[in-house]
Amino acid sequence: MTDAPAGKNVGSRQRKLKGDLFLTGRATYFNDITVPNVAHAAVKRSPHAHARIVSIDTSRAAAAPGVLAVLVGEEAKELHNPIPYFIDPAVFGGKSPPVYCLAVGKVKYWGQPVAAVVAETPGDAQAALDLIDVQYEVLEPVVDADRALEPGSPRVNDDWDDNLVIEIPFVEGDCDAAFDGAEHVIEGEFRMGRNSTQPIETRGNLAVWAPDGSLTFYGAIQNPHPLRMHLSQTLGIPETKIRVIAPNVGGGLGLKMHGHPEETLVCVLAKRIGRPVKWLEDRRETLLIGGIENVQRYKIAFDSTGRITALQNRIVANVGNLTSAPGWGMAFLMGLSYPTGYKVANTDVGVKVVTTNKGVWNAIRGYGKQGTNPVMERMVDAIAHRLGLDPVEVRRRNLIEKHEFPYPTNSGLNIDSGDYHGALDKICEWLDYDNLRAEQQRLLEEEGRYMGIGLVFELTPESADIPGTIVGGFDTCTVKMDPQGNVTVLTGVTSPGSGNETGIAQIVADELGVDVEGISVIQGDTDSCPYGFGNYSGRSMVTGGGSAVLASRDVADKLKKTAAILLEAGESDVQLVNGMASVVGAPEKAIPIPQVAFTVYTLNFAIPGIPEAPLEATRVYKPQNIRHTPDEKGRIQPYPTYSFAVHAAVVEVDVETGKTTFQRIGCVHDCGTMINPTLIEGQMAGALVMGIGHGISEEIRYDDQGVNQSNRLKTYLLPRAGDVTSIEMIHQVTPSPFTILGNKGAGEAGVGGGMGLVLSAVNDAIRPLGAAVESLPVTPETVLRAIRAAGHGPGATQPNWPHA
Amino acid sequence: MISKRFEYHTPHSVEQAVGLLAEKNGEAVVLGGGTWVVPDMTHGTITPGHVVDLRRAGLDGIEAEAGGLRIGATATYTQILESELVRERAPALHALAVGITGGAQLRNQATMGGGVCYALPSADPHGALVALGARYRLASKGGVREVDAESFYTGVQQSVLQPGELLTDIIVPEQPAGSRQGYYKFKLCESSWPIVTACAVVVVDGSGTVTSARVAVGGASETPYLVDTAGIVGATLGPEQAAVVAAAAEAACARPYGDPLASGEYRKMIAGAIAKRALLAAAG
Repeated sequence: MTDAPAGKNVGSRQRKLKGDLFLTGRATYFNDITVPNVAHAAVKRSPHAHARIVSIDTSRAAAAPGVLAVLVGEEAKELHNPIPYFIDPAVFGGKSPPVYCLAVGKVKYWGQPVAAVVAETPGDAQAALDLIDVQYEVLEPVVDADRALEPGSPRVNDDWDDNLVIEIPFVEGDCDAAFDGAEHVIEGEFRMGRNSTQPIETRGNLAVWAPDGSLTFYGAIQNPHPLRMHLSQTLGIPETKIRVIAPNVGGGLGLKMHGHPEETLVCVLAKRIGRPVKWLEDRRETLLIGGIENVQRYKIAFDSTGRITALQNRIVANVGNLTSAPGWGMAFLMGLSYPTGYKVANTDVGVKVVTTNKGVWNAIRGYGKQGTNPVMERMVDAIAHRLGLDPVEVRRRNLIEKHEFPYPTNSGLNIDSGDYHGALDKICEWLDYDNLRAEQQRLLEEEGRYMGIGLVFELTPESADIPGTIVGGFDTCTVKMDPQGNVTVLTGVTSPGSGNETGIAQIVADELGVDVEGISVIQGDTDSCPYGFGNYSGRSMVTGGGSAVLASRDVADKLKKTAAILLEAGESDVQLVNGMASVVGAPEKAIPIPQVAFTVYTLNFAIPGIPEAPLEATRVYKPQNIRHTPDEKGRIQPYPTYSFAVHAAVVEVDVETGKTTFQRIGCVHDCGTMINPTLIEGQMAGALVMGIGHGISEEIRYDDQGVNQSNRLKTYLLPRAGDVTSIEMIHQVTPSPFTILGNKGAGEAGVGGGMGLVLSAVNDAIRPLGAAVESLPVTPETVLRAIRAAGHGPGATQPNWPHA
Repeated sequence: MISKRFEYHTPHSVEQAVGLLAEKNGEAVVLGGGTWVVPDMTHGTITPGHVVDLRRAGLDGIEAEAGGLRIGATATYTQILESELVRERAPALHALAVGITGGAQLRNQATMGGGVCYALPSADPHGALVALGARYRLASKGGVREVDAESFYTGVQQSVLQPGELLTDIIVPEQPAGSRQGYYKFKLCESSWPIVTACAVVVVDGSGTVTSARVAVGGASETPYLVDTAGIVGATLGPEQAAVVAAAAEAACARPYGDPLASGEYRKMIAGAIAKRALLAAAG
């Protein structure tokens, strides 16, 4: 039910709580935390993608200045249980090798932890790494996923028969028949490179054991309670003996979902030396973790009006070496998310998840949907070009219409609500679309300039619940009011810096009639916060916000009951507004809320009928629309909400160099009810720019021996302000019928949109040359090669003299 | 983090500096602004026992010399950017300093002399200094010598600079009367290192005829190179002349340089366009 309160905070552009601390560099992040007697860890990493460890001699390192201990894999294996998978492929019928914090027997990717040093200072630890002598027997690596699937290719895991982690089919209708009878078919092969997250704050962990055998774990992490469970299983101690604390996080983006070896490593090292141990990730280490890399071999059938009748897609995802982190699951989502918001009767999508000797994956904001949206949009553009239709018109003809929601998709999803055509209209109006197309033509004919208009639809299923895993789709909130009327909120969702604490405070402020600035929101501490799953899948305002509504209403009920007695009014006539409990229609009958609170705590025996103290409630919110009872085809429905967006960009491609310049970027975004438009715009701008980076310059490259070539931010190129242009944000609000406030997820949308936008715009620009790009990122080199491949030699495409 | 311990030296004169280099006999690395050396030490790709920091050696002056100018080896890009003398006598270097990737923090730290010595093919200064006919003054315990920019570079991060030898000054000679300079840098995006750079020094007479043209390309080949411009001397600059220079620039890319950002093949493919743009920037 849509049940948005008419209060002044929800929907307002409330400034971020404690924003001054962040702006002035006084907010506490992981590396600001220190504890007495702390020692520092550094990790020795493999210089080979695939090699057997013959021997490791740690004697020189152990004797180096400041060194307290050196640990190798064979020892570490005895000190902890295999690290549980955040999402275990085995749950879905796949394979999952046991994972330890240090390599055992052989190394399976370049940069894999082989040994660790713990020393008095980070410098001592780092320096001692060079003194560890590891003898390797180098093995042939398998770097390419297609090659990894060939019989006889090297195997990443010695005890596997092949390199296939899992194969997942998503089949509906009769694709073969549809292709047989199709008027038109387009086939293609799309390659998506390996990209990554790169938050400003890298990862870090700190383990502190107490004499009673209990552990306090600090980390730049996204999911404190799930990590507590996994640490418990890894270390063999009950969860009751573990406290996990996540301070402010300087960007999560999926990277800080756990399952990385270093989380276990600091605990094991700290136990060994009897002192706290801290590890802070180096940027080169952050660049060992990537994701999304895949090849999609697609075939799409459509009629002469541009209506899509069938889609076949064979996706091969190169997930590198498996770790316990949840990254591989993105490949699952790539398949599940087809055909996004388009109506396609017959679909046959298959995903092969392939392990190789490349680096590991972890989650990347978008969690796989950014592997789907750009390719789906590429297909729609290709249909338009084939038929000589306008790409916007082809979208209009195929997108789900407003009256068709909730819309069940072929893969079993149930899209909650939407107005896709409304969003298309809004973006076309912003672009002044028809005139812009005319200008594009004029620029080409009169000035020899290649303008491109990119336009993409993006569907973002969010707030997932994956059965049988610790990816939960509900969350918990505690709201407390003290005797002086101050409000504390404890929530199971964490903030990666996105500002959800501010959104949650806005909700609570409205329900309790108090000032938002006075609300204290506590997150990220398993000893004080109620059980929750933390941050992923755009869930914080759906589940964290929903549970805050319910808990606040319970507290509000007690306040209203009490005020009704004090004001001699009916309970249903009491409202909580502007710090006062007042009687509707009789404003003179009012009492300050702190006085009501004080009454509950101090006159509980004195006044009959006063509700029980304390003013405190803990509630769980489970959004509707998730369905885990498999339907007749065995499909489940893991997402409550499906936000969507239509993005547009105007670019110019320099056809002599292949470089793309953005001139305009616009976005119509619909995430249902907006709790705070400013925070939503911040999320969308960040996601779009991240997607544009993934679309145009960001790629973790490996050589043919599996050696990482992108080890710093000069070889892995993030976009800067000058690479994009200001982003025009247009809101459309189609509330979700399945969440308490009508809101949908608003954290991930934009990444796939940005990637698709680059692709769509560049292809639109170079189409007059007969050139096309079918890969990401769309680097200048990619574009120029496509132009040359279309038969245009140097000079053939130069703009009119003089060059602009 | 630099994990290998090293000894840090701050000589207060060239004499002291070359003395130290001779004494440390190849174990020392020279620090200009440190924007290459420090990351390399951080990454462990170089592990010198001694670091000789030139910042107090009195080498940061920019002064007139003959009709040209002398840029001290430790002059930062900010100093070059703010120098009236550079703007007047070597406007291409002013344009180059404007476009240094990394913003104010880098411009305040990085030195052109350091970039020259590091000799990474794609770095900003090489092509421009070759086009300007610059000479590098090199000092060692044995004395001082000067080398033409064009013959200084021998390969990727390789040059004729000998162990024990130090760049003290970059000499930019007086440019031909009536000449105009143009500089063009191509990079992939804001955070990218340069991919290909080009610089042109052109004289066009009153009738619009090109009387001399010197064009050099950096970043495309392993070493910066001059482009054959004979085909445009005596002609009026137009699209065909630019195309001639572009073709010559691409043809002269003898040893295409590739790195993780861009292949050698790609750099060669765009070398012509970049040379042409420098020529156009010069022709105004």
